[in-house]
Amino acid sequence: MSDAGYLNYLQKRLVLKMIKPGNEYLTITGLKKYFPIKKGIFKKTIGHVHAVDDISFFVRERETLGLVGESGCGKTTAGRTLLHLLEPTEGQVYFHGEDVALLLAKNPAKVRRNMQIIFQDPYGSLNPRITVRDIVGEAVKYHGLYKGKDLDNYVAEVLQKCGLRPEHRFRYPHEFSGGQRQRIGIARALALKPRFVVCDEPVSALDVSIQSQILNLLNDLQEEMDLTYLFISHDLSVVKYISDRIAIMYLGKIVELAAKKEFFANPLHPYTQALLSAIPIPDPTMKSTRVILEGDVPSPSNPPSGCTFHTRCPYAMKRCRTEEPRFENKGNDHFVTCFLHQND
Amino acid sequence: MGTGENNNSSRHGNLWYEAWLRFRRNRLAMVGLIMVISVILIAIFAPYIAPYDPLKQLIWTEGKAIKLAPPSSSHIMGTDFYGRDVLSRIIFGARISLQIGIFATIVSLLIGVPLGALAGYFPGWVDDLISWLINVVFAFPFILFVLAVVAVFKNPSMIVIYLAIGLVTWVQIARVVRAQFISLREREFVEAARALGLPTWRIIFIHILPNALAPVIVQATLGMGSIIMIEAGLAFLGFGAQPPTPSWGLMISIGQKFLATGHWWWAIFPGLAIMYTVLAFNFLGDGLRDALDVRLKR
Repeated sequence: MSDAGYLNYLQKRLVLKMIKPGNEYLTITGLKKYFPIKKGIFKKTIGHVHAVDDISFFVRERETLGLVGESGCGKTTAGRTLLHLLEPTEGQVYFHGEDVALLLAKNPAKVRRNMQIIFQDPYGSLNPRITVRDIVGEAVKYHGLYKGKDLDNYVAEVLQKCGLRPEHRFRYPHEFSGGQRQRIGIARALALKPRFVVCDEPVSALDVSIQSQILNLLNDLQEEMDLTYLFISHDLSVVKYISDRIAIMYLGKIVELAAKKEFFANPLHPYTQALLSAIPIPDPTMKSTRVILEGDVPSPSNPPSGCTFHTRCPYAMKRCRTEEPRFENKGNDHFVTCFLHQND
Repeated sequence: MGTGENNNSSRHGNLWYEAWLRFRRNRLAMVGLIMVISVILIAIFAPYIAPYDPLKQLIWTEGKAIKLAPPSSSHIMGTDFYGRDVLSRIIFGARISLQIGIFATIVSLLIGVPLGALAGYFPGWVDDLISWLINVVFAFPFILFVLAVVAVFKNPSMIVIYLAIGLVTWVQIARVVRAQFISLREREFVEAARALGLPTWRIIFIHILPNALAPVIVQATLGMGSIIMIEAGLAFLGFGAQPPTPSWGLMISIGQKFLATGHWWWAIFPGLAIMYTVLAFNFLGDGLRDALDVRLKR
């Protein structure tokens, strides 16, 4: 095992010890997703896009964990990889203490029924050739939850729960507005009675007025069905509204994770601080001190050495360029990846 | 469907119905449709429309003068060297051309759709292999290939010709299907189907294929025209339909020898028939393309 590999291993053990897989509802350890970059007629791999680069965290039962990051930081890939819709390059996901990859090989239906996803694009996420009844009911039928008349009634019930009229089930997706389509997407995911749902920017394609309706619907459904959400978004105000805890991603890594209150009151990572200072305050008399980040996000195919944020960090030190900071618990389940807060 | 016949057209009915509404507004497409239907009707009712038996040599009943008689009121398109009525032969020829068009298209769909779907859905070696096959067939001079297949059988029946043509034209279909599958397999609704744990065959047949069908229909319709041309070419070369079958290509093949002597009607009229039919399918195909080419977002 190489030095880096050994370090990696130790780091994973450390995280594992801290978050104790099995005790928590959903545990992610060292999850990585690299996409190969191929070139030439022989499709030689000339590099990798480090879309998700070694992330570890847990989600508690019935909570909403907000995963925030700018576009291209890998948050969507993280959601997909976590559900094993994309094969992880490395790392494990434990659901109720069971390795999802193994469970998927043994009993795929169990994984799919329990872990669902709501998509961003309400236009692209519904098959335009089948009716709403089939969109929502197909998997229910396939997994044998209901059939025949019961299935029809159940679909009507789920639609109603998601704020649609039962008779809408005979229509096709193009007959609905964006907000209604998103409700259909939610109904489809929740019809399987899942325990855990990845919400992949479910409101970012919608009008602001519709956004709040959908967010409230998600909140209500969470109460009613005891759901656990991983809520992916680039919008801090949306995440602030819906989340219990918030994680910030930058270039494929989680740089900070904390409970909502703690997160907004005491942001530790310079990137988080910059993000929070960018939230507009609706009060013209208030003077905000904005932290302006220099430069652009580096390419994930060639991430900077050491701490990936050092190229833009106002506090960058020498060791930030060479060493990678650990994702560490600073107490109160406030995790941060930064040498400013690392004690050694 | 049930609700499809609603007057409030854009609200109800499925996408096929809306495509029909768009199609109906396109004049050239409607002309193409009517032309195609006319050819089909002529083919179906050939025995009732044709004034004479296409195979009957009229010299026995009407005398030697009927040989190579120019167009007249009793033989609108004249007669050929054997004293057969050209119009009747063209009318029956519609049957041959349509049969070839339909059956060869079916063969090409049966090969092209599954192979294209496999190549498009499974990247990696499956795609590489099928794409390689497609490129090989594409690079091969198709008429030579068809000739080779037909030549293997000493007395080529029509079925051999369907198969031979289908074996070259499937690549067009396969390419279209593959391209559709590649773009559709990345769509969120396909990913949703995977997330729902639906099996691969359901994803392919229920979620991808119906959405990939529109360009396939267009390609198949346009292909009908070119298949009819291929058949005419084969017949012209003597490898397609055999005499005395009233095939348009065959009529041109033999009739063209008499062009120089001023007996133009024997070759020109079947040529016009081919042109009419091919044009009909091309108009229809273009119209279908415009009508069916909807962004899935709408």
